[in-house]
Amino acid sequence: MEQLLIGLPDQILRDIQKGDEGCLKFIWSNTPAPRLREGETSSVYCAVSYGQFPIQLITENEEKGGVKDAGWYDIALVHPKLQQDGFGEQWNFRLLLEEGALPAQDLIETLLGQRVHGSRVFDVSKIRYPVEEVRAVIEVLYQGLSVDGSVQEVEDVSQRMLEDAAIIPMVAFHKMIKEISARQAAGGAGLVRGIPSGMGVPGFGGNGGPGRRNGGGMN
Amino acid sequence: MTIELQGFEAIFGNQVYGRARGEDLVEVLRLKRYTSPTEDAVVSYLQQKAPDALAASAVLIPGSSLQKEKVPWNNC
Repeated sequence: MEQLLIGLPDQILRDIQKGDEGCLKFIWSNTPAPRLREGETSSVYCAVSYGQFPIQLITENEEKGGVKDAGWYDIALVHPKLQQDGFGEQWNFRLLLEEGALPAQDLIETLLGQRVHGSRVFDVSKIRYPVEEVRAVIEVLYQGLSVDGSVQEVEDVSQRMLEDAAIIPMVAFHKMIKEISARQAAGGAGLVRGIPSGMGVPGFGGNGGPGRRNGGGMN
Repeated sequence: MTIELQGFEAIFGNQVYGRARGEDLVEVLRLKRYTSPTEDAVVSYLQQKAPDALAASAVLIPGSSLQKEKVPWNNC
């Protein structure tokens, strides 16, 4: 993230710093982060990613000292080669916390019974998900987090999520700069008027749209 | 306090839990909690980081600036 920022032209950094309107619009149009309506507060989630790995893979990586922290699992869960072989993350879900507490379990049970995959309080990464597997994990989770304050003990990755959301407009800035440089190198195609089309990262454009899950929703 | 998940072993407490599935597989649960980032939070974060990046870029990447007139939002 730091390198992406440092690599930006000073003019853009100054525009970000002072909140230049055009610059802000560019950021807004290139971030997956939603715009809150007036009076709306940020949603807080508890998320679970379910994955499968060959025991041998974990053992070998542990022996080599590669599994130092949870970060190894974050990478392994979304590793393309592992996923290609049917390992890594199988599905994930997230539950909307209300004042730090999980939603009522009977509500989630109702949603599971109706095979709902995307609702405000509960959504699963797959449209057709294995209901019984998800239900079993939810039951374990609710049991484990039934002690007062235990939800707050779950690792808070908000800062990482924020950084991930901020990287996308940074990448878009670099892409825009590259395009401008290419136009200039091609013989002075003239000044670019307005924000060039197609600058956004595919799938992440648009203002105020619903929040999107990122790599399993929790990276 | 380390969260306990019945039937799972804490690999990294409050973060990663696992249990054997058969002889060859491990099932893993990765737990996270987060506040969903918003547009305003992203802008605030970048505004907070920009001064340090400006200071660093002056040292590390001299002459990398685009001229003001080349920034598209100043040509609308």
